[in-house]
Amino acid sequence: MSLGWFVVPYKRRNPGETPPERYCAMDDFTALIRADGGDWDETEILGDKALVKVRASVGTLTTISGAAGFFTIPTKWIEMQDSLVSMTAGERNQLSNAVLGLGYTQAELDAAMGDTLALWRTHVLGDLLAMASTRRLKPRYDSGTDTIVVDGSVQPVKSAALVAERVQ
Amino acid sequence: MAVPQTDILDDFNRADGPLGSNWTDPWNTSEGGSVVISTSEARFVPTGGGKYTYWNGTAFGPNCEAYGKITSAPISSISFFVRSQPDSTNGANGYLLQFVPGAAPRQSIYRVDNGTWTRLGADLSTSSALSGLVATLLAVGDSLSGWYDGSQIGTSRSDSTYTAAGYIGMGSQGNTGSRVDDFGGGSIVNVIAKSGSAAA
Repeated sequence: MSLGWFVVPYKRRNPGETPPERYCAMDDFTALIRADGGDWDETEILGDKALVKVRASVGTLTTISGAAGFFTIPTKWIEMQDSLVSMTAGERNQLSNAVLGLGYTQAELDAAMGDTLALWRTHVLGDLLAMASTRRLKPRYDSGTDTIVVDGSVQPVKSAALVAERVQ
Repeated sequence: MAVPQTDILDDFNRADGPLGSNWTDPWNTSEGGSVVISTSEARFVPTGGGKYTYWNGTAFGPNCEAYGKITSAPISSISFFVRSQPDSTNGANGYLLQFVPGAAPRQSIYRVDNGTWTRLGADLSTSSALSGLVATLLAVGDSLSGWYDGSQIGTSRSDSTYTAAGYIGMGSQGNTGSRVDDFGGGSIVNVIAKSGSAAA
């Protein structure tokens, strides 16, 4: 069994019906994960996305990585205390773009991780995941377009540390 | 841990008709239909987005539970909710445990934001919804768990959004005819142990 972190979109479960319902797209892989004897947990973050930790076989994690809209955190960083000392410039750019794409600001990212590769390398994975899971926005239903719009007030979220703790 | 821990609030043992002044509906937007007393049980007659009603006497919690006895094989979904702020204009908020019967049965916990339901993790279980059992949604701290009688369904979920006391209630969507008896719930004062264990 192996572990992996992903940033995953939400999906609409019941288009055209009310009350509107959404779910974390990792659930599309629940049967596969459970067949491995694995498990997963999530916390909703910005960008209509969830930060998800999965325990499953390598094959299942590879399958999940290929899912549309899923972002995989490089698998050399799994535990919250794993050092980022080996981070390359490309990896930093990839992770930075992913976090900024969620809706966090460059200033927030720089405050948490520093504004150079050298400073990022002084951090651990938990620092990055904590920064990426500080808040979410409250969703609402637009009945005119039958869509769930995530643009409401800032809401608290379950910590990445708790997600890490629940999937070992 | 023993679940449920609180008293029955309504046994529905009175004449057929409306639930009465202790109950208020609608709870959420897009609701239709009614909940009535029929042969000493609550009988759901949902349309559109379902029918939900809440016990209006007092808010409970934040550590609290809501439960009811599913008296016969449910015809459509049955739900219990806690820490709720009803809002039939902008949509309700809170946490909800739903039992879905039929060909694809499931039991799931949702966070409800402005009437939009977000399922927390995976379904708790995809086994058939059983009749004759007391179904409970228990909220302790940031932990939410579903129960059939004294047995937990799957594992707990956790969420940090709604941490204050709120209203409890029940509902159904889908076909007419699902029934609940002996609705109960309330605040849990002496929290000995958090329910549940692992993850989604």
